[in-house]
Amino acid sequence: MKTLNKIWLAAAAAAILLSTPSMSAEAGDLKDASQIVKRTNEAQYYAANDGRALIRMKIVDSKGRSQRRQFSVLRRDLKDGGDQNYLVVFDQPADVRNTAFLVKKHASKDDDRWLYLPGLDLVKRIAASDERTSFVGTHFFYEDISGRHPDEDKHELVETTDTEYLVKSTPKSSKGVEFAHYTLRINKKTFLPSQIEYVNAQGKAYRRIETAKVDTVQGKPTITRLKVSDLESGGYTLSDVSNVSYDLGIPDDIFVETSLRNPPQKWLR
Amino acid sequence: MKPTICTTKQCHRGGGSLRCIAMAALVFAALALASSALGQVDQVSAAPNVEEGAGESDAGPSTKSPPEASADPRSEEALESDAEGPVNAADAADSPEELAGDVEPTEQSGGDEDWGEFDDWDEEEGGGEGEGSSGARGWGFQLGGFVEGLVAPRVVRSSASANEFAAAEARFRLNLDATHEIASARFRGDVYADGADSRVWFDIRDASIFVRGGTWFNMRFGRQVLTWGTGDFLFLNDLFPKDFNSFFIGRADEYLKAPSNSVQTTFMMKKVGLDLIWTPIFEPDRFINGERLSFFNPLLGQIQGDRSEFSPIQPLFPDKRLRNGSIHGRLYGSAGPVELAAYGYVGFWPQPIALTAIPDPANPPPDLTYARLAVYGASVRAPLGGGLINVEGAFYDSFDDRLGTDPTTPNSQFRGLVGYERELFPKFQMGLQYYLEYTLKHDELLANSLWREYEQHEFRHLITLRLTQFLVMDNLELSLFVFFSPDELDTYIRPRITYKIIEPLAIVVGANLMFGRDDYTFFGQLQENTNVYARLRYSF
Repeated sequence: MKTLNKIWLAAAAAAILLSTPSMSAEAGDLKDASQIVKRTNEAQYYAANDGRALIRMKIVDSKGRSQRRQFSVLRRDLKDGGDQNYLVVFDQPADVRNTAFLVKKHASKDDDRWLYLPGLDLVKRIAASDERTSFVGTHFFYEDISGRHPDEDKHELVETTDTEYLVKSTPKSSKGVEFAHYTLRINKKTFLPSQIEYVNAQGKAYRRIETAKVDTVQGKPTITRLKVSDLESGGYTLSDVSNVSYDLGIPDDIFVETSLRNPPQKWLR
Repeated sequence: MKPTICTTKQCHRGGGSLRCIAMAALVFAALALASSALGQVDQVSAAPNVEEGAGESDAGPSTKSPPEASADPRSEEALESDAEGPVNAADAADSPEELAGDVEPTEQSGGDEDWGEFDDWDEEEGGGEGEGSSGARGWGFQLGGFVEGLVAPRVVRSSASANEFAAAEARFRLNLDATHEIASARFRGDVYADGADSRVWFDIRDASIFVRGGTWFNMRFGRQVLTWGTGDFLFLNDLFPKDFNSFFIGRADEYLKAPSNSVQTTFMMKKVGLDLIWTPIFEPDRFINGERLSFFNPLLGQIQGDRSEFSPIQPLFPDKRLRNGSIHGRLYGSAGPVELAAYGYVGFWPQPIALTAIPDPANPPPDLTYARLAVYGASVRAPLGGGLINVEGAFYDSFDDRLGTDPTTPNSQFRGLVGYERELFPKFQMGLQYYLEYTLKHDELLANSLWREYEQHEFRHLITLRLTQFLVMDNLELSLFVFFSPDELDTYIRPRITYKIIEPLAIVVGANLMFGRDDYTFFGQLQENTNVYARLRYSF
């Protein structure tokens, strides 16, 4: 159970995994890296008004041992580019089944988060935590999943190919980050990232997130398979998204404590 | 007092054999563990290509190439290899050639094989669950549970208890869920062979039905575990039954809460919720009664354990009448990030701390019993300085003795709590609490007390500290929880290590260390129960 003390982070998984890009691709290439990253951020984290997904993750450590996570996510945007609500209900591993998270994500301050422990019938509020630590024991970081604010980094356009933008992003402050910079490969049409690679102070790439599959759901290209690799240990996590639906009309009043105890089946399946 | 009963005579056969069963369960689990660990090693060495494949492709960008170079388009070559793999651009979108860039990067051969697992994931895990065929309108079913062995030997000499084990048990848990859009049914049942008291226990922790009456009303009916309030292991406004035996012998945290047969109704009005819970037949705590754990009995003036002819304590239970049920209420809502709640309770003190009569040598000794109690309280919880602060207060109105002069009935109390928790370093959390019990009419209490020297101070202070560190990709948890009372000079220390060895298997090693200057204080009385424990759980 404690492993999942920060599973609330899972809520945020919805953001990346339910992402739908803006389809209004420009005729010409964009020149401003900040503009591109802003578009990517919006495409990834603030598309459609609400969504649902089943997310399955396979964690493989450096010794080849694997673990699984499976959870359902409901997401509702309160304001594009602003606050969002998430409800996450765990199904696997067995010892955390029915554990649930409620996250009220705030654009301008710490998120409000609650964890429900079914054995104790306890709704526990969770304090803010480091965003660049393991998300529910996977190789994903919370920030990979909930999104890093574009203003936290300085972005430069390194290259524009036929299909992609290559952007190098350097943090304005090194506080709380373990990378010196990271590079993004962004699809010009969808603004979905195809790869993000993190480089440390020694100039060595140590961590990589790759988009492995894109499906079209309700007319919207959606990342349905992601892989994050720890290039130093050789461990990695695969993430598969299924049962995706957008704009279900999920009401805001299901993002409340009572839904942690009794998840709203109507919206979850 | 336990709702569980021993069902067969055979199960009385003897502590020795049951202890053996519990031990055997642990040994078996340890062997299983060792063999699966070995199996894991075999698996790795037998499939080196997976590791090597990953290693090779990772080595490229991670060694020499600057990131710009590594991100250099791998163009045709990469696209071709993608087309061969299971991850195919054709899966994507209506304009595959445009999205091909997105779909490019599954270059690792090991990785490609992995994805196949997601396709038959459901089948593999099918033992655990099944979905109603009619989708949203149907029922979903889930089955789960665990098998667990626990041993907890006492590590201090006890004069009061002959049993050297606080716990030695093998437990099987079954979880069943049937869920539907508007209703669900839930079952959580334990059966365990208990070497410490030489019995087999059946303990139904949940057997309840939930009905959703729209977004504004729902109801849960039946046996259930209930919890509310803001404290961490400290309960002020939560008068639902607790199991203090489980808490002190190394069982999982969830066993601190005991179930009750109740009806829970929840009303939701915009941002405000109201919970009303009725327990028709009062359900007390599973208190420490001398049988498994020893405690200080002020009537005897000494520690009472299993050697005592008075163990287990058998208090007089309130008549099973309608008016003896208990009612719990909570009204809650939030203002921005600040959560507010008000609580109410009418029922009995959850522990038998009252007497049926004043002891009199001319009469048989009086029974312990439950005094009537009403509780009113409130709590606030909010983010503060990167952490969370919580404040909670409760007034315990022992309304049968408001004057405080009746020595057979506990006095009223005010209980207060302030807590703060935050993450100090990545994956390292700290929680601090200060808790106060103020006993009203303390002078009257002392003036009339039957055991003046053992009475609690007018102000009882308690400080708690929680430290939690997660390591090894969250598979290893180091945890420490300390209770310390500066006025009673007693302490309870709970160190614990939890390690998830491989997915379904977890081991927990810990200790319950109780110390006190006096043997009649809250934790001091438990010092002879000090134990260390090991617990091995296989979840399914």
